[in-house]
Amino acid sequence: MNANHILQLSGILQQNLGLIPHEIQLKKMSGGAIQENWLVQSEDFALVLRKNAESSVEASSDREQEFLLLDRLYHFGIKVPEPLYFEKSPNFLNSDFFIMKKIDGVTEGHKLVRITEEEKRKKITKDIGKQLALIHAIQSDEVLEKLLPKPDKDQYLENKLTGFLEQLDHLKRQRPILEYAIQWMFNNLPKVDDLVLVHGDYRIGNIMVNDDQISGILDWEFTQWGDRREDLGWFTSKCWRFGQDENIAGGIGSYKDFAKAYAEISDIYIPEFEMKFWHVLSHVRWAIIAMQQSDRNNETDTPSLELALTEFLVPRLEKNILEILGEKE
Amino acid sequence: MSEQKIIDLLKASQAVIKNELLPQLGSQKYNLLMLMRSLEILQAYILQKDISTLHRSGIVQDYFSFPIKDVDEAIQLFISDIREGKQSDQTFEILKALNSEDLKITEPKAAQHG
Repeated sequence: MNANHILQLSGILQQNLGLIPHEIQLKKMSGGAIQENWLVQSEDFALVLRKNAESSVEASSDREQEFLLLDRLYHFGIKVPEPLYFEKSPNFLNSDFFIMKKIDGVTEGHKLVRITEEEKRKKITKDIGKQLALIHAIQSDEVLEKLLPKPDKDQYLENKLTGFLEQLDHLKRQRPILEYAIQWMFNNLPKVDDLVLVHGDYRIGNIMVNDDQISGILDWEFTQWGDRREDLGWFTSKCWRFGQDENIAGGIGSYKDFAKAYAEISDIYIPEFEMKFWHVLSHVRWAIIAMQQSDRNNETDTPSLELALTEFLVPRLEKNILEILGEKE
Repeated sequence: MSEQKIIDLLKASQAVIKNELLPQLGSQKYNLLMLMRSLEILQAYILQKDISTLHRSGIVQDYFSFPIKDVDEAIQLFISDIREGKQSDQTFEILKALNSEDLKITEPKAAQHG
């Protein structure tokens, strides 16, 4: 962002949020293949401005929807940053954007999974399970369903798998392992009991931790109605353990601690053996997103090495899939 | 220009990043690590591409009862069979073998060490 951007932003902070933007500093925050987060800070306040990156993938919702969803989640008492202001494009940033309060804490997954104190990791793992159950307990209402229309429960999973095939066709890649995994899922569809609000990207890198407690849950752009096991599966998938494979729950803790904490709030205990289908689904989904991100690299003005490299994650994800499918029941 | 000279160039570039730039430019560590990985993949691709095509062709040939001419076309047929639910006892082993070929390029160090 340049001096003109800062000037325009100062005007917004003053006029719309009643803040006195004295000597504000802007700093691009880490992450951001899909969105960019900018820290907007002065002596008196700390905010985050979230805008589209040049390379948003197809499955992500727009910033307006994300802002309205955050507003609703904040109202429900979910640990999300308080949303303050939204502005639609065209504007000085050439992107829809919103401003929210900054939450303190650490989101870097590779650091969180390396916390050495076992008790601390256990406490965080339990809190993660509890917070997920609170998200899944949100009752549907008119505002939410307008934002996120509910799919037909009986068709939801089949439609998702059909969507994967369509995305593979669109990507024009030859990925026989992903095809095989999708067919395996068609042949092993679990029964879906009810649809809940699933975060859609619930993993350690999107959970902000302050000391031993969750301070915020971020990145809601994949949120939709779905089976609760989709979030549990995503969180416990091997691809999101940052190399700490023995800690099934996000690389940070045990499946049992995570699932028990989830059950304490939801009264639903989901045994680990039920995760096979959802772990396969998570890997297929991440592989497709990785290829979409890689293709985005060709559409941006400046090539992104991070996006280009995501393609090369796919064989590892496929290896994980083969290992899961090859496991004896 | 020989392929070996290109590989030498890549190796030398990797050494500069690893030994000269990484220790000095801590704030750029992530970018440098991504560059290192890119060069590693590129090097593996150059070294493996011919043999990989041969191996892939051999792997897929085991599936078909007729000689295959084009490995990409054969894999497309293999995919069509998977979509139609026509799977043989060999399918899973073929997938594992194809994956192993991919990993030789995307994770060459792991592939070398088994």
